[in-house]
Amino acid sequence: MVSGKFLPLPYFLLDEELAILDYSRSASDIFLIGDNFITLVDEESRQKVSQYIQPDFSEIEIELNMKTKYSPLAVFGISVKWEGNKAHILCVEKTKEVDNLSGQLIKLRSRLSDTDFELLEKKEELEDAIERIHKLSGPFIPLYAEAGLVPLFGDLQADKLRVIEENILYRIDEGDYEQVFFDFHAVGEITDDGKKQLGQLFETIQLMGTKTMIVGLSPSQVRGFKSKGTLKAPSMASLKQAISEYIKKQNHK
Amino acid sequence: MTEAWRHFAAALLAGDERQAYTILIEDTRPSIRVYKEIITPAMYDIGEKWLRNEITVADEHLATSVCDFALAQYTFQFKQRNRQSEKKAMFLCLEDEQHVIGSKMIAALFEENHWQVRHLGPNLPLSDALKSAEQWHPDVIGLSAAIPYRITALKEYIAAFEQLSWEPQILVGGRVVAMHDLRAYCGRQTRVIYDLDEVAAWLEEKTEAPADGVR
Repeated sequence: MVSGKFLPLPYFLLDEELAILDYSRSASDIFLIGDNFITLVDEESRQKVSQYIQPDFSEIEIELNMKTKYSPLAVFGISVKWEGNKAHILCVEKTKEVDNLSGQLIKLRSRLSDTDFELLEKKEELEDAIERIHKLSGPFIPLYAEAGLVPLFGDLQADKLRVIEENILYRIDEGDYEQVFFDFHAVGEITDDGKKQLGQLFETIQLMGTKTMIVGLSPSQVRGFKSKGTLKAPSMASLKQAISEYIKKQNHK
Repeated sequence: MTEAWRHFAAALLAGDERQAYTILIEDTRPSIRVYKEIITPAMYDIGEKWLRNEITVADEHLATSVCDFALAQYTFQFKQRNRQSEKKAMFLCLEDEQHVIGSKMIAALFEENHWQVRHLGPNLPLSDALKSAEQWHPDVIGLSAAIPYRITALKEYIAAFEQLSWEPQILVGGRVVAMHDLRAYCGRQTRVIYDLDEVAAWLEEKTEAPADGVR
């Protein structure tokens, strides 16, 4: 038999008990060689050795984690060929390939999670910006000591009105206002939910003892206003008219 | 009916991240059961397949990455506005450790319970981990280790984190805790976590802590 001594790869000749009978120089360069092949194998791969390195599998390739002089855990591709009750084993290290692969995967992973994170941050920024826009779409402006103006802007949906409402109710409660003008001149469309929400807002303000005056609502916007709060609020076509009437009344007091 | 985890494992090995994600997101079980009953058994099964010589290490790595991706997408729904939360938890895997899925599931449970969470990822050297901890001051530091020969390193990490001035709670989990009794290396601040239910119970405990009626 030709000796494997000078094979350019780690080579072992084993008996049925996996005792090492012979090995190549390359094997002793890489492994700390003991009596039995199993001692070179990582504990968690040993089950695989006893299962697959046996004469029943006359020719087989398996992967094992092995302990080398340089690493406690290195991946090897193992080719086994049985000749009677002796096994010839060649070991080809795969650690480098596996490391390259896992390195690339890690890079991909971290890029993905960065992207996720950036998207999340953008999403939160966007939500903050929308909330801010909502707030600015219904500012409360004190006109006189006892009257305030809320100019509404843009399309009115329920969620926008909920944001606006919070600020308005707080300001009315704080300032003891007798009358608040709601100016609809700059309003586009009002959704059905928006109309409901507006009605509730007017009702709440009226319950707080403050009068609501609707200004500049266009005919197309009026349709669908059913709530008591809205119907009870008097309305006028222009802000100028509404304010001057208010002042006249104040002077008559 | 074949169990969901088998389909999930098959999708992972096929590199089909869309299918993997669909299986998770369309499942009606609560997230902790998705982690326990789909992801965990699928990942164990993939490890077993390697032992049975059915797949290679490269297949395993690919499957892990697909799993990581599907899990990240699945947990995205819980990444909501925790920025204001005062509770902060940091997770990491030891240097040379790539087994990241377990701690990601735990991190997701924290997020779902409205903690601010940072996962520093696999393979993190102790010095980097300490630097991050000192900058961010997390209340909880979760360490994960799966490879038995790294146990000495794990001890070093635990000891170093126990030295931190604000005394964070340290949680240690991963496959090694089932293989070795680590309690001898754990101080007062450190707790060994054996499974996801334990984490859930711990989180519940923390949420209910101010039990004086003024939540």
